[in-house]
Amino acid sequence: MSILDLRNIYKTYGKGDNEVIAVDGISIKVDKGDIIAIMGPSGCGKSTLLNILGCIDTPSQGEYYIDDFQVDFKKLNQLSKIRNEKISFIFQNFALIKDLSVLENVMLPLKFRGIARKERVNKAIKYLNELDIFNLKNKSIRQLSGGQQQRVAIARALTQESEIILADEPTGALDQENSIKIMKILQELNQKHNKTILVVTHDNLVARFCNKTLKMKDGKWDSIK
Amino acid sequence: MKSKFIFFDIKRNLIVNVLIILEVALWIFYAASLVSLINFDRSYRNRYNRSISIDNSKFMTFYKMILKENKDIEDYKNDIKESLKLISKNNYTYGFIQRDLYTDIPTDVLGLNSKDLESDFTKKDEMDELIHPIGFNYGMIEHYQNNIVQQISKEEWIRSEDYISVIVGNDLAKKVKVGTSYVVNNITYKIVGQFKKDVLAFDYTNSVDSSFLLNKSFVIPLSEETFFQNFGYQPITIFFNGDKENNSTELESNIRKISDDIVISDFGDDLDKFLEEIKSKKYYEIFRIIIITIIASASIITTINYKIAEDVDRIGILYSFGISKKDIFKTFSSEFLINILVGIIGGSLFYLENCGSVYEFFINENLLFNLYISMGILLLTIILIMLISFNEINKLTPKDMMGGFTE
Repeated sequence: MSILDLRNIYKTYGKGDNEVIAVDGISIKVDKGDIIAIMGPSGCGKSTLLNILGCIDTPSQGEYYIDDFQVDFKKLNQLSKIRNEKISFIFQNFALIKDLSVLENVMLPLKFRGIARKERVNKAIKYLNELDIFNLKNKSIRQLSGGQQQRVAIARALTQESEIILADEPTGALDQENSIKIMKILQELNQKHNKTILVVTHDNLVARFCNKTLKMKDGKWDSIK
Repeated sequence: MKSKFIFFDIKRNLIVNVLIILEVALWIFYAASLVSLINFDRSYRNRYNRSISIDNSKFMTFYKMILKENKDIEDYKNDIKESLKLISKNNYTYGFIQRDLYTDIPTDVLGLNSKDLESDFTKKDEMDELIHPIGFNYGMIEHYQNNIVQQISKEEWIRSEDYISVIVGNDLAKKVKVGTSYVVNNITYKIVGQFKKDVLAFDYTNSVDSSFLLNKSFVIPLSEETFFQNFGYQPITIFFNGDKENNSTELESNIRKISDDIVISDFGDDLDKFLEEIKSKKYYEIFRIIIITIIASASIITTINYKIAEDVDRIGILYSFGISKKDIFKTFSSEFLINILVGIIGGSLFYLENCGSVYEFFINENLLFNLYISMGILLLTIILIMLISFNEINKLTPKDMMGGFTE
């Protein structure tokens, strides 16, 4: 069963002579538990595609289904709910709030779900332990290395307990050793928790940890491995 | 480390928080002062009217007599006494006030300290440890009856061998209770009444310039005999018993026949003259405060815009969790409002402490009202600022906010 189903998605910017097609009729079905790498040169439309998949950008045309439920991009509240319940993000720049502690960052998504602080703490500690960074819980983000920061970001994504993780160049700011560690974590999450993970990357090393690689060129699929 | 705030945590954003609190406090202080000044005329007139019945009275002044040396003071006193007889003959009453500089009442006997007697008008006045009572004849007391908490009868307003009746000012009444007696130098002072708050009286030629509050006064009976014995050209108020319009002209011309040096004036004239004289200063103050208020408002808006620009990444992070812009705005504004509240409390306390008087001589009687008005205006401004903030947040695109999903 497809957890994500994109049908003939287009995304254009500008009008008339200035029109730029960022995504040009992309269709894809992603099954639950897939771990997929999306690769391609800069400007090929992969991040735009990820924005659409993450319900933070609106396609110009096409249909998008999550768990057989059609996303209505006009309903902002529905988009927020999908992002809140179904999708977690991992960013190249980690997107952590630097002046909050590790624990506070990891708990943050739960704060807005109205979960009591005690439960938030318990959940955050569970995932900090799982990612082996419990000892960092009271440290400020500024005190952490790049690899540690990305682990915190992954822990935060996990506390949301959503089925889909979208990662944009998750190892882009890391050295090779840390990149391998992070990808191993993502692979483990995929296998252990059956998370569906889509990773946008330039790095062939990252792609090696995925069970499927999609290559984009000029807003279209170039090849599927 | 526990954190309740995402945008306005006091420790992490100390400068911005302090800045907002100061700006709001400044705004409240100046806006309330502005409302005070705008209401100044009306407020002053109301207070003046409450204490001195402009519609029912006129007052006699004797300043012309001071300038003339070819006539004896006793002759003048006789002229004044003649005038008073004429007033009584017409069934009108009169009142006079005279400070009793020869009687000293030590404050400690009454259980007071110098702070209890500190002037409302200016802090520059040095208060000594003695109270000089103010004498009121019964005619004046009768006229002030609406401004006295208790009903004072003519029989009660006496200086007998047993005791001297006293009416205390509103502030003193907190310590010097009605019904109690105090013995000073073998004289018993019996407190028979208390004045209401902020009642004005006057004791010299210009009824406005010489006006003072009775809040901290110790008022005792004053006989006509004593008044003339210690006469220092204090004015005498004529009360027309509701018939001023019809009969004041005739009485005035008859008094003028007794002496040209007795001047009868309308209280309203002094008041109008005073308010006219301070107009330019008042407008200057209003202009100055408007400028400061505008600067304070602009600073608040600038600080908020700066804060949104600074926090755009964390807005994006929350957005990526599926928090709607509306909820992000709610979080932002609720944290912001806590700062506003602290600023309002700080500014209000400062205003209440420091704006008891305007121009250092006039008690600002609508202190709380002015504060409420300025709070109302501030809240409207804050709502406007919030709408601007929300619009700023709403304009942000996912790319502006999140930055991560870039090619």
